Amino acid sequence: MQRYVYTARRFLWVIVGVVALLLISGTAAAYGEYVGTFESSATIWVQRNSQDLLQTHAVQTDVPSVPDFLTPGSEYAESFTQLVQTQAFLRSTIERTSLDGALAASKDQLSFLDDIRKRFKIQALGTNLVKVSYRADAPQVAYEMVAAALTIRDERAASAQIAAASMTSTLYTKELDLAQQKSTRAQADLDQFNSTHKPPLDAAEAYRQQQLRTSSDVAQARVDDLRQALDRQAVVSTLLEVGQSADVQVIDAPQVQLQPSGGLRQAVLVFGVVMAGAVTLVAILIVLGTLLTASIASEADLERLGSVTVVASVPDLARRGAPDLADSLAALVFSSMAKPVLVGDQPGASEVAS
Amino acid sequence: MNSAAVMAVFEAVSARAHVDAAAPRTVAMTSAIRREGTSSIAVGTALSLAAFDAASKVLLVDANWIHPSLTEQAGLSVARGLAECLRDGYALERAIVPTARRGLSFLPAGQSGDEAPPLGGLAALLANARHDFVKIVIDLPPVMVAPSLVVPWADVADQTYLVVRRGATPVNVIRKAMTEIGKERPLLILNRSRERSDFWTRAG
Repeated sequence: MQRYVYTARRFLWVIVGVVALLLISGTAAAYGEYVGTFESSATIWVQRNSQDLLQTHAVQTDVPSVPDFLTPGSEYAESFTQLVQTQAFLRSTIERTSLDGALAASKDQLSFLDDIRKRFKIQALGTNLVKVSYRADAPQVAYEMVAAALTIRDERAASAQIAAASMTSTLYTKELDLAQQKSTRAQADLDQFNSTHKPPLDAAEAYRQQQLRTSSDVAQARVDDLRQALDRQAVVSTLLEVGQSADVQVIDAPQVQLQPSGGLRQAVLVFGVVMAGAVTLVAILIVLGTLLTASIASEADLERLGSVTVVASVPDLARRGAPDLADSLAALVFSSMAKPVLVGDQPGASEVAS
Repeated sequence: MNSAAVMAVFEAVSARAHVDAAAPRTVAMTSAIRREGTSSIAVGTALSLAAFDAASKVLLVDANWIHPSLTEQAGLSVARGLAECLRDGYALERAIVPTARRGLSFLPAGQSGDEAPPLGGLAALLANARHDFVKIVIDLPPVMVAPSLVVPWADVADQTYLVVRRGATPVNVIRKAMTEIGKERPLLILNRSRERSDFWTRAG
């Protein structure tokens, strides 16, 4: 260890220089990161429909018997985070901002999108609150990105809902067509029977006519039911759309932040990385310096120097907990010394006490 | 730390100065680079030599004008000393001050000024000192820092010890220092050794 300390002392100014250089550059980089970062954020209130209140998320728990309840906020944040992972979502978002041209001009669009992705931050602030923020070099861009991301997300949710509703409507419509065909056919059969069989009808004919009338009534009832279901579906879709807009509300809309914000963490990270690099560099310097400048570890090493005589070895008293040897020696020799002849005294004017 | 314990540390060095066949009377201590512990070893050796023989008078000389730590520890930074003796012909016996230890005296570094005092009179000065002192221990600056202040002393001293600090002094610097001192078989002292305490006492 001592030789490392010696090397550190020997290269002290180099180490100080390296550390100072990295300290200055790290501070400058961190400061630049801090003052050049503008964050815009939106706070969103999310409320789940009552039937989904106890939705569990078993995938995220190691203990099957203890379900991990997802709050509306965390569910929304998770789905938003997943959206941000997709290139399509990011591209759609960027297309609505002033970064559109930059993306188009970028040679490596994947890296560009990756950088955009890292600048998004989605946090569940509580059971129902979600914060979506974006860090950018310009205040306007940060605002645009958050606003566009929220818009795209809402549009996607709405279009998915419409698609689901339209699927149900299509199913009902097809069934209605079929039911109408059946009803028409039953009515036609009944009409044909009535035209070919004039009263009075015998028992068998009356029974047949009753069957045909029942079939026609049942087919018509089915048609009526399906029409009602279609109407209900339209109403439910409208209600769900209204309900969804009430479930996700942007409490704090994104704004253009003219003051630097959101860059503190990155600045600390940059500074920390640079300082860690400085420590590593200094450690490497000391280790290499020590290895390249071999020193003496024992009398045997001294004797390997060649034609030398090792007179003595003075033990390392300091490591045995003894006080400083130089101080002890000075106290033994120089305490209570006689007054000497000082410079400026006339030679011979003052005798040395003996 | 009591005085006996401190002096025991340097018995090996002082014993060598006593029993060596060449019977050195003037022992110079230097190192390759700074912070090797040369001054402490010089003081310890002088103390040990003074305690070795009560009748022997020992002189400790601070010849380290680069960093006169002994003179500073003695509180003699403004006192006349070695520099005045060499440059102005100031009387040696006036510059030497007795220490708190019986038989041990101290010659402070003096005021070297911007230019180092002329070292041409070293031999005469040491010859003068030998009249009054049996052993003379000289604390020198690091040889790689100020070879011009070390080599002349090494030439006139009976023995020159190169202090090497364990784990600190680079080997290539030690080799250069030995070349600068120019002795056929350099005498080395390993400072801050971690080897067993009975190992270092074997020397001598």
